[in-house]
Amino acid sequence: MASTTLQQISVSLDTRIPLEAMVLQRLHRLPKDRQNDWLRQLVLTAFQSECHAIKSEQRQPAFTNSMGKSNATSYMYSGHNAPIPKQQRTEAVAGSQNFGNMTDLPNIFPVNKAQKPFTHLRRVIGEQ
Amino acid sequence: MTELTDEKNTDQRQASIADNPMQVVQVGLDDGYAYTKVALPDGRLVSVPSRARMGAAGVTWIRDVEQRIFEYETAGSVYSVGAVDGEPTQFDEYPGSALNRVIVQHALQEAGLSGRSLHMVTGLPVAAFYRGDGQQRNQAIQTKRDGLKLTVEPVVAKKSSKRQALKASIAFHEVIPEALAAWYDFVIVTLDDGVTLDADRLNAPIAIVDIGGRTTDYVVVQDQGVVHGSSGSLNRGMLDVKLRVANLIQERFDLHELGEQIISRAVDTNRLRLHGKDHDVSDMVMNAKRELVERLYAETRRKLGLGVELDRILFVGGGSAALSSDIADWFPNQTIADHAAFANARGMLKYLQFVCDDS
Repeated sequence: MASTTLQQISVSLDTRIPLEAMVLQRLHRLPKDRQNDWLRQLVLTAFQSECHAIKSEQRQPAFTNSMGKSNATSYMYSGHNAPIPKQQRTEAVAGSQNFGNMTDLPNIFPVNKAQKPFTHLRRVIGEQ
Repeated sequence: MTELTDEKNTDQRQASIADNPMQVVQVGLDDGYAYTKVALPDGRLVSVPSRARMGAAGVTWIRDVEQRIFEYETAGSVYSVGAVDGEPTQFDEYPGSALNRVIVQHALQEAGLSGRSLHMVTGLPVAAFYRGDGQQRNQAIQTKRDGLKLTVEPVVAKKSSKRQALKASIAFHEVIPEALAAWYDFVIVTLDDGVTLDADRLNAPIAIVDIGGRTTDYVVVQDQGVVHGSSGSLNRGMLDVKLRVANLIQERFDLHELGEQIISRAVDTNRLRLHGKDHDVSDMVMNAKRELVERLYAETRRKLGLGVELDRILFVGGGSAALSSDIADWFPNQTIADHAAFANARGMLKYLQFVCDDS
């Protein structure tokens, strides 16, 4: 990466604040060559989380609507071979477009970020 | 050793990915010891050989389109990936290694994901994912999860103003057992207008046999649970064919050393070119394959018996495609998956799209 595209930021953390102290403690446990990557990942994850929260608030009416539909579709997933229309899977996000003029945040989330239809299949692997 | 590889056209590749560069792309990636396979939500499947070595290539490419060796930097070291004599990938730590990391980054670049932020699911061999008692090997899984999140920079961006090769950044990474990924591919069926579960496949007792490069994985799924007694990994795969052929060639032609790419080509084409002359090595390749098939057959019988209690035995992995004629009559109720080399990558993508929590 060209050096002009890399920008360094400096952050001060206060050890008197428990959460910030924990971040520092976790950071110092890592090998030196991984610390920068870990911090970068931490910032990106936090930013994603913030974007997600803001978008959730903005699309509240549409999201509520999609939750109602997800109850209906969960019946179809449980062994009946009825396909789930893509329209329903994308509705929560598509609905947010109605509020598009209220935000200039980039849409950094996958289209089917709404309720995943087959989460119960994680148990096959052994996940809870 | 031949696996299906999509024709690559950069313009078409770029056009088929969502136009918004800020949008996360979901990726299923099966980073095998022989080939690294990528499945994308638009249906494209891309495969690259898992071939890299430490150090710069030392080649100046006059035309970008001719470039066949690509350099990447990670953790302060430069690696060359592509048309190089690759370092062996057959070591236990490969899944979390820098070698693995640069090969994965190269596969993502070849898939047209330069500069994109990704959510990704990859895999570990069954025996590397589970202990014998069925408990997950959390440390190995976490090592793999963390390993691929480390930064890998395409070096080309530093050297050329014409090529724009930005790293593909992995924002979310989950790891699942490799052969089990093929089960998800088998039971989750995508249709033109949505997605569904195949109820018959979901509850039927099914064995997946995944013949890969270094390992052959077995997974039996019954009542939506893994039967650990019949599941596991055998450290045999298509790379053993290559190793055996290399030994036979050295013996017959009295050679001390031969490049890894020449051996690969000999296995793929049954011909070896030495001193400008072609030599037929089909008997060596056939013998090496037969030895592998015999070993796999014995292990498969040991794990699955005659398969009478199984509804189906599904063969997946690049080895299943390459050995299709040799394994054709092992079980009356067996099937070789469509594009078998990509079954795991497809399953990993479906797991990401429809099962796991990547919020």
